[in-house]
Amino acid sequence: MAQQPIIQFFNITKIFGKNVVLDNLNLDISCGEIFGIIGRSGSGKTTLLSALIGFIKPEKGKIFFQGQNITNNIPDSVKQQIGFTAQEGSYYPRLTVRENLEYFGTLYNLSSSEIENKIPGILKLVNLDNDENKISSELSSGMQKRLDIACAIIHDPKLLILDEPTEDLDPVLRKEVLNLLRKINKEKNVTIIMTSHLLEEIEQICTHLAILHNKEILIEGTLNELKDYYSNNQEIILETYSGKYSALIKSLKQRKEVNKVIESDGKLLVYSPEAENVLRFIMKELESQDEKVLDLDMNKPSLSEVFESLIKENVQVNRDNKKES
Amino acid sequence: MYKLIEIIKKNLKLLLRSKSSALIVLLGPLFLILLISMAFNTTSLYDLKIGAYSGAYSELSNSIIEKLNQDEFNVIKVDSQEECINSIKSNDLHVCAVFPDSLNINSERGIEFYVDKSRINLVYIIINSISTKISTKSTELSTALTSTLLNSINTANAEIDQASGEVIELSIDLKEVKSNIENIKNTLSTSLNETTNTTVLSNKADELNLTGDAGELVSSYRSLTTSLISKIRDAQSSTSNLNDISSNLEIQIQSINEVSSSLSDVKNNFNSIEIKEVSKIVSPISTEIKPISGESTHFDYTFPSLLIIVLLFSGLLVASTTIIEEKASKAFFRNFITPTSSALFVVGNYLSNLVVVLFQIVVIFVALFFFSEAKVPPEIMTNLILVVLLVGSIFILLGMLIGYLFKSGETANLAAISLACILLFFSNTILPLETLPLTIRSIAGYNPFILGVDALKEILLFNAPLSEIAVQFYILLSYLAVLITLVYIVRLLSKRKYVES
Repeated sequence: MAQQPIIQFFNITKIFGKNVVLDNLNLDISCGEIFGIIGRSGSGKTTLLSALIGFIKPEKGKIFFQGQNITNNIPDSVKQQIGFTAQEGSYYPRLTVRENLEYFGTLYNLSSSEIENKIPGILKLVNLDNDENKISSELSSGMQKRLDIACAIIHDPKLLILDEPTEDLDPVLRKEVLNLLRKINKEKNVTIIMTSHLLEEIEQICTHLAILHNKEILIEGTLNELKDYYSNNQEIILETYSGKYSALIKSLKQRKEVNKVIESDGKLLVYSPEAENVLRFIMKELESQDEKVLDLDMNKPSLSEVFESLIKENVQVNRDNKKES
Repeated sequence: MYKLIEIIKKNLKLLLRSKSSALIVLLGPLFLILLISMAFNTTSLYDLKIGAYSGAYSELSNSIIEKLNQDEFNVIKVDSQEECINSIKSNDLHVCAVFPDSLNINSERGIEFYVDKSRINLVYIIINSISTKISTKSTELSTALTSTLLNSINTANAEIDQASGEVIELSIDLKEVKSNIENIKNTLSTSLNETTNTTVLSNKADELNLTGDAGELVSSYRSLTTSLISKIRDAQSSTSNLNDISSNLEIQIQSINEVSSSLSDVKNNFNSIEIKEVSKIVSPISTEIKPISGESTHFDYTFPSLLIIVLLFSGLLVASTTIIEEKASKAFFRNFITPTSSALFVVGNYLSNLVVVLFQIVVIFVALFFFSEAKVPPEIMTNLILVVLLVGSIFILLGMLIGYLFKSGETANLAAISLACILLFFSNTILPLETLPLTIRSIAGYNPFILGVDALKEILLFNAPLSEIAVQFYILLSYLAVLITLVYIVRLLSKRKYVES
């Protein structure tokens, strides 16, 4: 018997004024996943999460948490199982790290002894164990993000929802936060739902993802499923000693089986459904130009490429294709 | 309960960790009470400047100026009436007194005082104070004049007494004289009658026809009797003069009696003046204004208003500011999604603000205890705390309402200050309510500021029990109930607004 999804969105429609933000959206999220929702800015990612935490109510449709309808009213028992971090941190900057945890722990019905017992573990998990008495506003932005996550998991939720968790963070801090989320997912067995428009980080961390575009979910599945299903292209990554690719690009663009050629950071990225033929052609061309290969790799396309191709395609056609399959 | 305490703890920590807020909350009321107790802990007015002008100062005008100069007034002689009046307009002088030239008690023109009625809070105090001074001087003059008059009357009375005695003595003397005259007249009349016997005797002697010595003797006797009779007849003839004299004396006696009677009437009239004390004649009806409470300073009278003002501004501003800060806080969002009811946040915020406001009130009372002579009797403490709690709660809830209704701190502060000003202006603090039209006055009567001040005045000045302030108390309770409901509804609406934004 299949495990019941922790979250189910069923035909969700949300309208702000005359603007339809979500239209008949359907999505299931299973327990234990790190589920990424990607979409362009303004695609409705935050609205979807806001509906999930009961902050807004959809005009139509239903939301279920472990089979319990929470569309119009989230009972306290469900709130107790959900943690949330918004794009901006949600804590009191003038309170210390410990005071914030104590305060939110209390609001989540934890007794003072429970809070006392939990705080060291949480602080260690988010790597703030030496900063518990620091005023929150005096922490670095990465530490503040970790504090925000700590506030969201003080009550041991089953589901942690993060809206753009790495927004405004530099690459190092971003990696730090993603590692923390992975840790939380593994160590505490917390299902994580996160939104982002940074596809690389979703690709790095998420076990499952959905692409939200034009008011609806275009596709959902594992990363490989998405790549397999929506892109026939394979990606050839070439790097030569000279780093000069103009002649090769010119000749590649004349070939029908080559869909796209991009020069980036001294590398050449070539996309084609017939990657092996194209690779042979490239090697031949390099030999004729007396160029030496420094690095060569062949991959499935990146999430970025999947996302771009999906957005370009006719949405309706894709949906029909999916139904047929 | 544990959640509630944590919310209050959090709010207080947030307030105290903002240095400026903490400074205002802790030191604001202390500073305010120090200033006000120092400034108003007196019953006097200070350095009121009076401009005086007269074309020709007289002794009387100078004495009035001297009298005014003795106390809180500082009288400055100016060169013209125009300059005097203009100095009031420019606030250099508070009052301008124009004395008639060579002022004396017979002067037809009185002293003219010019005041700036736009200084409503001061003008009536000045008018009252000057009127008292002038009235004192006027009484002094009346006393002097009346005293002189009474002295004259007393002297006249004494002299009449003396004259009456003399007149009576004169009357008695005249009566004696008259009596003597009557006696003389009677004696003469008797003597004349007796001459008849002498004549009879003489005739008898003639009939005897005596000769010789006897005859000579008879003859001598006859001539003697004749002579005697003649003298008596002469005397008898002057009796008519005696009658005239007697009649005249009678008239004189009557006149003297009339004078005596007149003097007696005058004296009776003098004696009929029952009040002979100068002070009673000058001020036959004496007035004395007695306070219904013990003699107090300005501070004692303004203290209830001061307390309510602190409650008003602290309640409105602290509450609206904390709510706005909470709304603007990053954590506002997380509060919404925790399994904690809106009502608990409302109660938590209300109690946090109440703690702050009560702390300020405690600071005021502690400062009062150390820096002022004014003391609060322990027996009124319960009622005082009840009213302070009630009024403070109303202003806090109003502040919370403003905080939830407005988006930014600036607009919320503006709204809070505006509301505070409206409540303050439509109270007795700046202008008496009696200056308002009846309709507005009846509406303003429900102003929680007025209700609070009235209740506190009755408690602090007259030690009134709760039953005597029942009306104010129940109206304030009704406000509290309505505001609690409103604040709860507005918080729910503000959540919706927050989500939409």
